[in-house]
Amino acid sequence: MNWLRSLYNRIKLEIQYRKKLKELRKRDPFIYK
Amino acid sequence: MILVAGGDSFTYGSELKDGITPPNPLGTEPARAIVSQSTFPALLAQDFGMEYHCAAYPGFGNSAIRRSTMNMCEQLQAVDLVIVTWSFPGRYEFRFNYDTEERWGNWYNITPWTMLDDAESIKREFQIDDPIILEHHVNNLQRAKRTGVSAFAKTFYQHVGGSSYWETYNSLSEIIMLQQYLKLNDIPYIFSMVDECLLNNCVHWMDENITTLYNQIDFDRWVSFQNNQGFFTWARDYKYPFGTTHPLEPAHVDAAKYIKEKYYELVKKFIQQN
Repeated sequence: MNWLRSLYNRIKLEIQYRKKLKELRKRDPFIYK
Repeated sequence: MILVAGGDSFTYGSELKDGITPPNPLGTEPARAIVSQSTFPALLAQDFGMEYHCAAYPGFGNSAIRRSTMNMCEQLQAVDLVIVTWSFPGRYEFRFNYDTEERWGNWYNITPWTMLDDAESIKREFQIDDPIILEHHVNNLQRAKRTGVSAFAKTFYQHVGGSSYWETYNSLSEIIMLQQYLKLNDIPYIFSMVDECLLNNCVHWMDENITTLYNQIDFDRWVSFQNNQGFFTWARDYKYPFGTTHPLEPAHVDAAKYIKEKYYELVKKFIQQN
């Protein structure tokens, strides 16, 4: 069952990361220069 | 009399008519760099009859702003006024173990865009179309992918940098470090910001660590625009003309007027205190 928990955590982290990145990009729309 | 300006692309003058972004060693950008003289700190320097030195650079985060401003003050020694416009807290500077193939070699600022390599996503962010600027962005992001910076940025934002706690803590540390340096060296200064989220974030995270840092900030030296906004959010909300992503000359002219008033207030206060 450990592999299942690990997979669940990885997916959860990825979803949180994508959501946060979207928020950060909306606030800071300056791609590079 | 010397005025030093620290900041990111807004202070550098990206997209203003008289400025040219410096070339990247491997890029296709123009061969020479010209710092704009139409930004609000440059206009203030002209107004005060001061020599203008710009430590700002496009893409800089708050660590880079602190580092470049301190370095320039150390190089010039006799600095009479420093104007720093702090950037978005979600940008971070690192010194990598390898050459990032960017202008600053091992030093590189990662932003929430560093891990992107899709031209269409970049284009969607532009307020007006500009194929040259788009190509410039695509080249930079491809370099980040090739060197490994992009992969690092993804891991960093996933585990640390994506937290608004960390970005707040990190930015406050940089602000206080520069504030203390300027006070220690008796250099008059004014702080401003591009987005008020830099300080508003603190309210949500008022634990012992953030509060300790927040209480060290001398807010008498800060200037904000209408509704306590930063330069970018103010220019955007008050519908000043924009380039692809940056406010153009009219916003800088009005910002200079705002900051000039603050400067005179500070000078008056200083004379009264002494």
